[in-house]
Amino acid sequence: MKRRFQWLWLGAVLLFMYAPILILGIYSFTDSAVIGALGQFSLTNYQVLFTTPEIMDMLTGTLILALIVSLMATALGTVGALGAFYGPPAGAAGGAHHEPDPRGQRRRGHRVSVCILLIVFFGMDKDTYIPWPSV
Amino acid sequence: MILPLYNAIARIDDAYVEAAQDLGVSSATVFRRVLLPLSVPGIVSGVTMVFLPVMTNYVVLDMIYNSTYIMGSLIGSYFNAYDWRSGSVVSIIMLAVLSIVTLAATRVSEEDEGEVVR
Repeated sequence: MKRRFQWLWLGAVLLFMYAPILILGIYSFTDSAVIGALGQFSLTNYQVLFTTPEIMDMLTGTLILALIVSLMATALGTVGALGAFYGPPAGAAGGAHHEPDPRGQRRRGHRVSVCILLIVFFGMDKDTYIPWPSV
Repeated sequence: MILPLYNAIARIDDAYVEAAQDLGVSSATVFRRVLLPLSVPGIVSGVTMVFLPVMTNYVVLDMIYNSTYIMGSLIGSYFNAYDWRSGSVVSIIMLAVLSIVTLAATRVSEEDEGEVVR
């Protein structure tokens, strides 16, 4: 009984996770724009997507942004990891290998610091204009 | 990013670093020739962990910046306008891109770990 419940629970979780993706996949190949009505099979949406410059700009823009952020994170993360591993532990005199302090707290601290820097000191808000290179 | 890299560095045998230092190379060379190649699985894992949220997250960007160039924002706009068809198309494209990146990262990571084990 318990095992059956576990399988049912797993099935429900998988359905909850993957059913929306499946529905999106089905809807992307139809010509219907109305929720609930499936319509006919069509590849027109993909044709429109790949022939509309604005949408292609968004695709490439998102990819470039993700790549730039990944590169920056790699450089900063490598320095951070080396510093956390080989640096002296907080409150101790020395020692190369140690268990780090609760890093979650540090990360939260970093996020708050960046938010304070951007919003309080640089006065950044939603309407702040940042020049973006044309893609 | 720091956590997977930290774990990758922690798994590197100190003997490699000591052997390189005994051969008289500088700290920069030890980093470039020993630490960096051996921590590639951690770097790949970290890049994946950064890349995927950046591709999908648009709320933060929308709050601090006009996220005109972001796919997530486009998907949100389509679904807010009840245009399921166009929103689904962009979502499927994003899913395909993310699947390719994840598969490639997994493959690179597995290959590097295999080399380390050998």
